[in-house]
Amino acid sequence: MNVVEVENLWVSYGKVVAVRGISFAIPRGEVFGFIGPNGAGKSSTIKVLATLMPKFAGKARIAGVDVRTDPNDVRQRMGYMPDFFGVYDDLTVKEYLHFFAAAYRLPMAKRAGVVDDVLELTDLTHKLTAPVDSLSRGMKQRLALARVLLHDPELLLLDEPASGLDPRARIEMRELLKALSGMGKTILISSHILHELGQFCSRIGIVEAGQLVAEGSLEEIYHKLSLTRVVHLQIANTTSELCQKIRDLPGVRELEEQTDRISVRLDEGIVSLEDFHDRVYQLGGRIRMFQAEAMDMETAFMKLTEGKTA
Amino acid sequence: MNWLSWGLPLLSKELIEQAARSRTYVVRVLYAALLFLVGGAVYASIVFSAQGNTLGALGQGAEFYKWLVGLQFAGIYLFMPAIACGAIASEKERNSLVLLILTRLGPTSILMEKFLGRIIPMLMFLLLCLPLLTIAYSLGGLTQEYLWLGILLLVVTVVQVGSIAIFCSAYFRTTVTAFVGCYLLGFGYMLGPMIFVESMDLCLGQGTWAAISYRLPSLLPGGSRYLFQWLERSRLVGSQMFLPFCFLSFAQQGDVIGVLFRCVPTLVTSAIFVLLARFYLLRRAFAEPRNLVLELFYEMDRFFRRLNENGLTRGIVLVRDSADVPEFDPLAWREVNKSAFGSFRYLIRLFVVTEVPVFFLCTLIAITDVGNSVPEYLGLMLCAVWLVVVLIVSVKASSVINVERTRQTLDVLLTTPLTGRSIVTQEMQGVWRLCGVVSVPLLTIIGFKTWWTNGT
Repeated sequence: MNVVEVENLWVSYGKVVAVRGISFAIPRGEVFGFIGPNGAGKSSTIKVLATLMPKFAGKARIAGVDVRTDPNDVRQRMGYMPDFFGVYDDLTVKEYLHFFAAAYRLPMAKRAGVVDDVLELTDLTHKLTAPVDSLSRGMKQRLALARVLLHDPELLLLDEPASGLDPRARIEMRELLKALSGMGKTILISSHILHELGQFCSRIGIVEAGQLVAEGSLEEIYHKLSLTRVVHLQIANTTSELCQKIRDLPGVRELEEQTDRISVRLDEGIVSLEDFHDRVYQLGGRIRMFQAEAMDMETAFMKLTEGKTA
Repeated sequence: MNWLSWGLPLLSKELIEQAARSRTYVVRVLYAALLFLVGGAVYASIVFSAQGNTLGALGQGAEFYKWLVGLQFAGIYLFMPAIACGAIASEKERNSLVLLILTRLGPTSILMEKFLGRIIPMLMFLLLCLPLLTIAYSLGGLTQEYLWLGILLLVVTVVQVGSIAIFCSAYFRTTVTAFVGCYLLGFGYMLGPMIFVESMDLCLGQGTWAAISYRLPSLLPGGSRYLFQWLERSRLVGSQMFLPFCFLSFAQQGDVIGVLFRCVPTLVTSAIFVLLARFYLLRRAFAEPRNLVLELFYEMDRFFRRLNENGLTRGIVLVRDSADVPEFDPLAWREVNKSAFGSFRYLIRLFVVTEVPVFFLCTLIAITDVGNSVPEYLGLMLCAVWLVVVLIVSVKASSVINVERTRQTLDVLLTTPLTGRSIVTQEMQGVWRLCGVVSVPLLTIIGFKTWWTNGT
């Protein structure tokens, strides 16, 4: 069953259209990474799901509950962590968590136990009586995550949770999110720190200018992009005749002769990397270097987006 | 090239920003609507007082003009602090003041461009009165001297209030504290001398101040003598710094020299406020946000706790704080436990601070031989206390939701099951408590006045 369903979502701020017909679905237990440049429409989409954006077109449902018609029910089912801290500096950690426990109408008898649990999970138990103001940035972010977990929501909406954190705090946050994923939580996380998402997202959606330009598992997106993968070759006996023969091979879309190498743009739907290697060898090429361009998330992102904003 | 954008970039930015905001036009239209509404009512009353004979209203231009300038004075005192208090304080709130300081603009340029950026919109507000001024002038009876002196006094008042506001903006950390500070400082500076002199007479008997100001100056150096003379004059013509008094007296008589002479102290003190703003601009640029009232209360808590720890009272607590964590209404809990004017013991202190002086003054007025002036004095006191109460309550009430927004907690609250109505209701708990406490001094004065009027 899908926990999140978004169909043809449109969001506008006055004359500016921030989201243009985005559709996606997130099955239960999945970690969905929302990637895109600043101003792409990630936060607007998340805000719609967090019931903070009453004016939008299209459909948005959480666990089958319509965000527009039943926001109160939706609020019980999700936890939203914005890209800023959203903490009361004049409260202690304990007061802060009890404050939101009361806001979520947790039964009195359960509150102390729940607060202890979320503090333990976020490793903040030793800061129970510390003023929120005295916490480091990373700790504040973990406290915000603890707050999100108080009412045990099935969906976590995390908008840039690692934004502004130092490397250690980012790693701690990542481990925490992995743990939550292991607990079966469905997570929608937005970020532009791409390689971090790649480590624990089961699926990603790449957004640009308010549109979803790619969506799927990492492998699917890589596969889709690698259809035109670039292969760098160094051949000891390169001649223009050999280059022409390679150019004529099936699946070779383009060949560029460079000073120390030739670059071949290969259609992997027609010929695999291994077969291409064999064919060059069969043509008499003495291969010194065969390097297919690595397809990581940043490459995928750069390939799929043009840096446009909505 | 536009010289303005080249030479005065900050002023250009301020004006462009204001021009781009729809709020600017909404406020301007509201201001104009109020002005024209009241102006129309005054005009109608002038015509009706002439028994519906329009010709009978001829020659009443000065009266109409007096009302218009009075309205503009009120507009300046109401709008100018709101317009100018955020000039520098809002940059501090946004952490953008440091970026301005790092440019080659320099602190003086930053200050003056900010100052001008807030003075100009207020002058635009004053211009809205032009159509009504033409009506006043066409009615006749309005001399050119009176017209120009009124305009001069309005412009000087804009500069005066603007300079106090810009000083508060440079000194205080937040726009709200700058706003409150501006009103308190402005009240003390404009009406303080008059209240001081009147209080001296009230406490020590009629003519006391006149006797002091007559005898003491001869024993003091020159500078002090002028101060005494000025204070004495403050009583006679109202405060020197409160220019509506000057408008009603000297300007109405067409005394050009008198008005110009009385503008000098105002302009000099305005310059001093601007210089002070320049002085504090850098020194207070990185001031940490502080809740001075809360800090004072915490200090008092510590003092009273030490005092309470003795053999006799043994740390007795008469009224205990409510639960240390919220049970059901978290925002209400926060308002009545964590805010300066929310918790019970802090409200008791506020009650003592406001009620004791009011009760003391009421008693003093009653036992002092001021004859038939008692209701008048009590009326003045009621106005003064009402102003302070309105200021405290309006600032508190208007900031409850805004603070959540500034603290970036509003979005988080809105994703909890708390409804919008519930959020507002809970946030207002502290405001209602405050209203209850500050209404006591008001009721004391009203009760006292009623008792005196019925009893004599």
